[in-house]
Amino acid sequence: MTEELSLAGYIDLDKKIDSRKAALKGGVRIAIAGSFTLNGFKEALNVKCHETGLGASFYVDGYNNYVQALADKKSGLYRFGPDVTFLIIDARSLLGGAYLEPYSITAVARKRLSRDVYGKIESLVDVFMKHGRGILVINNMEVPWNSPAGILEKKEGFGYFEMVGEINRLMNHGIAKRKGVYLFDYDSFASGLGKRNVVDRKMLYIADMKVSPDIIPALCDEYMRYIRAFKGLSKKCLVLDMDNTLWGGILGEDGFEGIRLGPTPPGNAYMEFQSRLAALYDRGIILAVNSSNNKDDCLKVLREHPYMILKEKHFASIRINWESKVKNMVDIAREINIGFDGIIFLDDDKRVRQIVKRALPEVVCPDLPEDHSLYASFLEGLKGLDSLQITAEDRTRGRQYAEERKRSETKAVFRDLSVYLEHLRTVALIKKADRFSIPRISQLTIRTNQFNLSGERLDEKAVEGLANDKRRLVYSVSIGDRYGDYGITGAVIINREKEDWVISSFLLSCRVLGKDVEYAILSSIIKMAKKEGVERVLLRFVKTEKNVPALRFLRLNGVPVPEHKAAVYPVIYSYGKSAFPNKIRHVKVVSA
Amino acid sequence: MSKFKKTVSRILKIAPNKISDSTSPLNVRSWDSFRGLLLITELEKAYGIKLSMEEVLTIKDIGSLKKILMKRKIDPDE
Repeated sequence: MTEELSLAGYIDLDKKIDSRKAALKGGVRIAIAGSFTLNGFKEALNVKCHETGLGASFYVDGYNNYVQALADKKSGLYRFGPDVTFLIIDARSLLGGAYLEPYSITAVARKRLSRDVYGKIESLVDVFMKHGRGILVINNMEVPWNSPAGILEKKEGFGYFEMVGEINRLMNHGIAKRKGVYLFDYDSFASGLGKRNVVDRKMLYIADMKVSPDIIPALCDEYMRYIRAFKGLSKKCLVLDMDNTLWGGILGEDGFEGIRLGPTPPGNAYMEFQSRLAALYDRGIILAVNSSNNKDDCLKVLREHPYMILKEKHFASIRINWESKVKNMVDIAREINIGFDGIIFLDDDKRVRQIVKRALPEVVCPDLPEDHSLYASFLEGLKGLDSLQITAEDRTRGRQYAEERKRSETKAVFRDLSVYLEHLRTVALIKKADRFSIPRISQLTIRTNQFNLSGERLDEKAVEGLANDKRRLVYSVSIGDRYGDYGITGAVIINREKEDWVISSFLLSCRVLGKDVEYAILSSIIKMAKKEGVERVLLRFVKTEKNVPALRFLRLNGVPVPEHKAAVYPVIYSYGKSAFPNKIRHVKVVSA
Repeated sequence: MSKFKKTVSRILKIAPNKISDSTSPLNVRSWDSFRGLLLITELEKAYGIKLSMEEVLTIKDIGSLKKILMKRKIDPDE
């Protein structure tokens, strides 16, 4: 079982809980009603509430009394006034004889029966919605996994499995969509544990326990998700370590190429883990980074590693430094304005987890599996991130936090442009065109108007032709800065002539202008030319209606540009003299 | 103390030295039907066995419980 503590253990602990003791996070009123013996649920839930800091009071309805409890508006359940009501019902009880002998009746009768059963549940829900308070959580039906029809089960029109499944389908489309009503997918829960394990037949016959005592604690873990969400105690933020958490290995030791992250094992396990984290981000969970590392090295991975699923945009706060992780955690909480009790910290290092746990006991630091192939499944089973509703804002919350992070950080240093540019840590990646970048380069020549020195439009085939021409150099330019990756946003095409290099195309998307990347790129091309013993670098410039920014760029740098429209070759480097500064310090140019 | 006594004491909340063959739901208040079943599941786990329904239904007191275990070649006093 997933639980370390057995139900007996919970029953012992339950006795020790002093219900008078003030609960840290207030109280919750829980009602339990159902179609079979419900012993043990209250005890397990009480202990789990206590562990969460909640004081819980309970109403446990009588054995198989749920119809009266919900249908009668004067029932004890309604008088108790629960915050969360669990309605624990099962197909065996609801379907009666047809559950055991489904083929004693016709397909039509089976279908009618499913509808009748659902109708009864729905009418109880109707009453609850009128007279009950709080939320109602209802189990769906466990679909059987053995049929008296044997291998012909699926040949039957509206067979046994379908009869039970139909109730679930109707619940799913009906009551599950009601406000304040939540359908708990008990069928999936049972599948997860293995349906052969969820019922102990002996206990079923002796005591009508339709849920084995062994699985009650795990089931109550699922129920706790509703209770925490109701009380607003769900976690909102996952703070992540990087080394051996987001990727395999240690970046500082293994290097950019050496870390394990990619489509082959073991890197694929980390990729899937990251995808699952991204899926949580998509539904509004905030992600943040707390890593002991060189920040630039990690940012390079975030921006340039081809198999990194999580990018800077996913993170509401990024703390990569050699400070203590406790201090970083405090800073993260402050930056995204969240309480420590809203944070789950995922770090592979047990020692770090202990330190954080000791310093910030409210931060949940679960033990990550030793086997990293279990990371993704660990995350899939991570409870405590639930909310009772997801709005459109929730879905974009992660992104909004990330944008807010950018904004506030930028604002703080914007007054001084040079500081701002320094702060941006712009990286230009110059890379020889390949089959991945050729379509994009073509697209850029067609779409880019403002910073496009020759204005030459090239279709994909033309770019490919140039890239395969030994006398030419075709480069894609990717720009990234500390706030994110712009992807391929520029291109350079060089014609290698006898003694000269002629840059026949140089263009950059206007999104990346204003960071001085154009200077940095040209100076690095000049450097490359020098290395090859080229004496002059010429730049083909053709004035168009829209490329004023390109013209200004050249003029501001003292490059002589004639007034007429014809193609010209302004000299930007000649015999050791360059129109461009050797190094734009705030832009790092990487050529690959 | 034997595994058996430990488990019985823990689940039924009675001191180990008060456990005898005649200990039964009649003289132990905490031994209700639910706790009786919990005791079975805990013993099953402790010894890695599964008792049959018939065996469970013959349990009237500690003595009869011990007898069932001994039939399974388990010495409850060990």
